Amino acid sequence: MMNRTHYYLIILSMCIILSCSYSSLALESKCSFCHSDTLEEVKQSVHGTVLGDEQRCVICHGSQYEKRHYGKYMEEIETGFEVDRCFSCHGSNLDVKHGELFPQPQLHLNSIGDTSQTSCAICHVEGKDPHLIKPVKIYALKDCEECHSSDSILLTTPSKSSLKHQIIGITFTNSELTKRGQYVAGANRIPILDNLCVIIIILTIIGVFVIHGGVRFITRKRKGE
Amino acid sequence: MAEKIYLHPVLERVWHAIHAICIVVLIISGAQIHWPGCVHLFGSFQTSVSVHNWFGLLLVADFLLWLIYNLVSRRIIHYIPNKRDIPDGLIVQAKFYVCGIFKHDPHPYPPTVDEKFNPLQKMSYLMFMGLMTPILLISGILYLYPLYFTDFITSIGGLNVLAVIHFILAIIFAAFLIAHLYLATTGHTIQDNFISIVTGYADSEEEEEA
Ligand code: HEC
Ligand code: HEC
Ligand code: HEC
Ligand code: HEC
Ligand code: HEC
Repeated sequence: MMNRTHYYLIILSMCIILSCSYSSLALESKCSFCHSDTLEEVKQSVHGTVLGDEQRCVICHGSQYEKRHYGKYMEEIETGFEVDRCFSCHGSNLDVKHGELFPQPQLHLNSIGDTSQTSCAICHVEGKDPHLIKPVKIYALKDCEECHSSDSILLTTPSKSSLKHQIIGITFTNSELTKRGQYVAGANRIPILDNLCVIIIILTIIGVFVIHGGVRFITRKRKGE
Repeated sequence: MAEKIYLHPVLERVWHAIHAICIVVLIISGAQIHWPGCVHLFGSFQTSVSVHNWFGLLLVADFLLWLIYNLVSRRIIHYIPNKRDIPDGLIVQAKFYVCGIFKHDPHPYPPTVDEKFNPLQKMSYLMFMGLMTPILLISGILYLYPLYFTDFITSIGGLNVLAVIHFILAIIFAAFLIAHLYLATTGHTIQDNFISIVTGYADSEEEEEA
């Protein structure tokens, strides 16, 4: 028959074991306790092996997430992701590397002020998950017209679940960014100005070649005159 | 045979040829950058961007050539309207285009060695070479090297303001090019002015336009 002391001892040891095992859980597993899918994706990405287990999440997201952040409105907590975090490891020659492909690499790498709003993930992630960064030989967006065209991916309306929404935030629309000074050639445009351009060119052609030229043709000197 | 006068020295013809090629290439490649879905003359977007950048820089060099040459040789004087030109000369010349030209009146201000351009030409060339081209080129340079001018670009309101200025000027230049080509046909014969900008020589009795 078990007496009271035994009973308390068992409870106590269970508590000790539980708390020990909990504190020995790596930070990573703390995150993955709730975000297990994300952990899998990070593991499958290029960063799977390079980012140490301890810091896997926090290195990109910042330590504010170590505090309890669930149960808050997501608008209150920012995702804590800044391009700087990628630069901290990839900094030195990114301009050069991307410059071989893209004119204005700094504009594309989001490194001047907050004018430019491209994000690494737009080009380096194929699907929707920002963590699944693949080696550039397997996937990296090179096609200029994905962004520089009238149906640019940068202009698609944000939907709550899309990657672009996550990266760029709720306010990401063409006009919002244009207000802040961004201009992506081929994508941003002022429709009135475009129409005006076409009208001016056509009117000039008609005005000089057709009208003026036509009258000149009619009133031309004929042979023998 | 009409007597020939030497109107366009060789350097001016070279300058004009480079300028013409640059402007045409820049308008077309610029149109492709602005409407990548509609214009495909230079192949990929990437090619059109680099073509546009290189020809833009060439145009800057060509503009400096024009400026220095005209200042040093003092031929800039051809572009400066004088008292007779404003406003009388402009009106006479405009009337000629609206009316006289159809009646085969003689050109009111035929080009001479001392005065290449008629009053309208002086005004418009001065406007374009003295004001519009510099603004167009400066906006292009700023857009090409935004990193070196971040403060300035932010102060004028960002890349979009710059891009719109650049675009509006491009429209004006395209319209100018059309009018310029047309007015070049108003010489003695249709092809006269085109020949003289290549050979340098023009008929002295009969007049030129461009
Ligand atoms: C107890 C469960 C739990 C733990 C542990 C946890 N999170 Fe979260 N996290 C959540 C919930 C719930 C949300 C809100 C998700 C939502 O509403 O879409 C969230 C949101 C986030 C977001 C923002 C997502 C967004 O849509 O903006 C990030 C980033 C994040 N967590 C990172 C972490 C990191 C890093 C750790 C480890 C240090 C961590 N989380 C640990 C539950 C947890
Ligand atoms: C290579 C850097 C990087 C690492 C490592 C990383 N993340 Fe992220 N994470 C991002 C980026 C980029 C975004 C999208 C940008 C944003 O939403 O601000 C993101 C978004 C998220 C989101 C919200 C979007 C979604 O997918 O639901 C959560 C939650 C999240 N991360 C959790 C984690 C967790 C948990 C870990 C660790 C297993 C982790 N992240 C590791 C870069 C990283
Ligand atoms: C506009 C699309 C685009 C954006 C934005 C972009 N990249 Fe890239 N990136 C590429 C492409 C394409 C390559 C492949 C280059 C090649 O094939 O040489 C590449 C290559 C790389 C490489 C490999 C370079 C090497 O040494 O071979 C790294 C690392 C990288 N990018 C990181 C980043 C980071 C970090 C960011 C954000 C600051 C970023 N990229 C933003 C398109 C992009
Ligand atoms: C802790 C440092 C670290 C951080 C932070 C980090 N990376 Fe990396 N990343 C690496 C290392 C190391 C590699 C090299 C992996 C390899 O070559 O196998 C790599 C590889 C890559 C590659 C593939 C390069 C190639 O040659 O195929 C891309 C793309 C990339 N990272 C993008 C990013 C982006 C985008 C971010 C920010 C969201 C980021 N990285 C944040 C360390 C980091
Ligand atoms: C991920 C989308 C994306 C891709 C892909 C992309 N760009 Fe860009 N590009 C941008 C953004 C965003 C800017 C910056 C606009 C700003 O800061 O105002 C930019 C800027 C530029 C500029 C400077 C003029 C401008 O639009 O402001 C040029 C030139 C340019 N890109 C050319 C290219 C070329 C050539 C390619 C293909 C090799 C390419 N881009 C691929 C998004 C992209």
